[in-house]
Amino acid sequence: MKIGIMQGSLGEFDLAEVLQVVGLGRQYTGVELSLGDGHSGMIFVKSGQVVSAHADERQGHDAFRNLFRSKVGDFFVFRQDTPPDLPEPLGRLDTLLMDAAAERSGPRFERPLEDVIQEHPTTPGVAPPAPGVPVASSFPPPAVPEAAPARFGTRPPTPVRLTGSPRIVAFVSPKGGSGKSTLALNTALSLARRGHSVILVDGDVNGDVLSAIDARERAKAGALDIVAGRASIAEALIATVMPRLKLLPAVGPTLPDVDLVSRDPHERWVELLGALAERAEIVIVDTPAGMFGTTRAILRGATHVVGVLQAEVLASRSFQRFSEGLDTLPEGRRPAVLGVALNMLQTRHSASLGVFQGALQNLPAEWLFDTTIPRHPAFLEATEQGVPLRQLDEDAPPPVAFLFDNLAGEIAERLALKRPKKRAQKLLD
Amino acid sequence: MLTETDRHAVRKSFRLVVPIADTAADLFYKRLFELRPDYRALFKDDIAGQKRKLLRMLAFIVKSLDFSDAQWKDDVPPEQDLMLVVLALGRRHTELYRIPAESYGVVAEALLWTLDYGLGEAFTPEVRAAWTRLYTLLAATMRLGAATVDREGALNGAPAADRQGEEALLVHLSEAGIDEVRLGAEEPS
Repeated sequence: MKIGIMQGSLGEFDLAEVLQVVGLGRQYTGVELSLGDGHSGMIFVKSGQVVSAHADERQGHDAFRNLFRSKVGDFFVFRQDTPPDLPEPLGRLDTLLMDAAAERSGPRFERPLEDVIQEHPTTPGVAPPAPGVPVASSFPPPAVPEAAPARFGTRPPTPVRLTGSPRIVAFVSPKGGSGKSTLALNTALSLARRGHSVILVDGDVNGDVLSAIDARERAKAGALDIVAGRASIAEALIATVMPRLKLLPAVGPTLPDVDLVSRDPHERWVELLGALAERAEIVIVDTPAGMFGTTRAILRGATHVVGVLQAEVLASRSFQRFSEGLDTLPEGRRPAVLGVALNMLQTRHSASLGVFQGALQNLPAEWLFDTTIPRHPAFLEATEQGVPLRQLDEDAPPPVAFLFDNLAGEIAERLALKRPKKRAQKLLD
Repeated sequence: MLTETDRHAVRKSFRLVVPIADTAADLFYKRLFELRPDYRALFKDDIAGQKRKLLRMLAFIVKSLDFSDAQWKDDVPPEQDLMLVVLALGRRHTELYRIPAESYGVVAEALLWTLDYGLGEAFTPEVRAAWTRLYTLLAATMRLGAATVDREGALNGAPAADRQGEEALLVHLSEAGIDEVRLGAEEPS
């Protein structure tokens, strides 16, 4: 006899949530699905094991994965007596959910379950710019470029992996000198200013992040030392004047064994990034140039990736490696593309604008961030003084520094981070 | 996603809580009323009884997680099934006490603070993450239970529905004394 437990709409509770709740139980529990596209299915779970699944004519693992294709429909959960001849289970529910997510990942599926306890979860979308803050998307349409825009990867790599709560964002670029370290540093700072706890990891043995803030001598140990097993996270993490921002340098005072650096122990990177994600809401990782070597090891442990595209012809030609490099990662180890940030845009230079236009035309529509970063003398000044852009002048930061607040806002929205509490203040008492 | 590693971390750390259970319960309510002083008025004067119920509920949850993959075929009585108990708890909280959704977050903060304070170094990032995931999943379960309150009619009208099972659960919850965590609640009239 079937005994009803609960029923509802998949628009309100998605299938992954319902199944995770069912996975807490020890009963022989059925989840009956009437999907909006006229299809139906059934999944039986007992004690966290998936006993069987069918979707129309499909059976087993194939059916289980297939049932996640529709986001519209109703579910009905019931229990019944355990059949005497239980078959071997298809597998553990948590494992199958991860596999299904690796095949099809969408905004609802990637939503951290923690949001379930929020009455008003953050709405995915693009943050409106703050009043008075310039945004690059308001630039006039660029003139027709002299050179034909270079082609980028046209097919978006399939976002994979159930990201859950960890948010590990790797900043990557196929070409060196694209400004990854600058973007990673200033974006991390803006995210911390927004109220999020952030760890900025320097994944490049050159140690550009600490160079940018003129603090190389402060590193007692670094990420590569931890990967090599000769330091702990606690020993290597550096606190900053921003209470919510910590830095993990690339290396300590001495370089680790060259063999180790070239060997790229992938699993140790995955473990390190996972452990860091337990300590902060967001982990930002600056990677070495290129899509292979250490960058690839870091990408395997990242949940998301931001591509940094320098608005320059040579960089645009090599940017197709961004998609290609991601495509070579195994399923389940491929981060979702959070977006592409156009950097060093020169609005008075037609070739630079051509790259901008090419990116608009050729990148998948959702990839390009609304915020683009111009080439600006303030960056040189910041580097010279060894401070992040925002810290050049605490009272009157250069206007270009505010663009990183915009970029951080877009990233926070796309990551569906919970919004920090608003602190509205009236002008008059 | 609650993994086997999380279950293990929760069970292992809870063993450390048991010897200091009374202190932990004191800390929990102290922290809860620090966060929300207005909740104090909503409890009975008998906070000691309330603390016992909290500890019993935690013990029940942790015990429910204690089974191996090899035991998956074993049957468990419905009244001792974590999913069914927590769903019913969610329904009861909404139906009778009109618990605001915000209280889930406040309780989570008080609970994690208590474990952090009570366990010290043993409250590693991994243990914190495991408890956070467990609590989050339980809160989601309660909300799913609560969301079906309005659909009781539909559920009862379905050929599969069985109100008796629900009643049996509620009786068990009453007997176990784990149904009266009335955070932010008004006394039912």
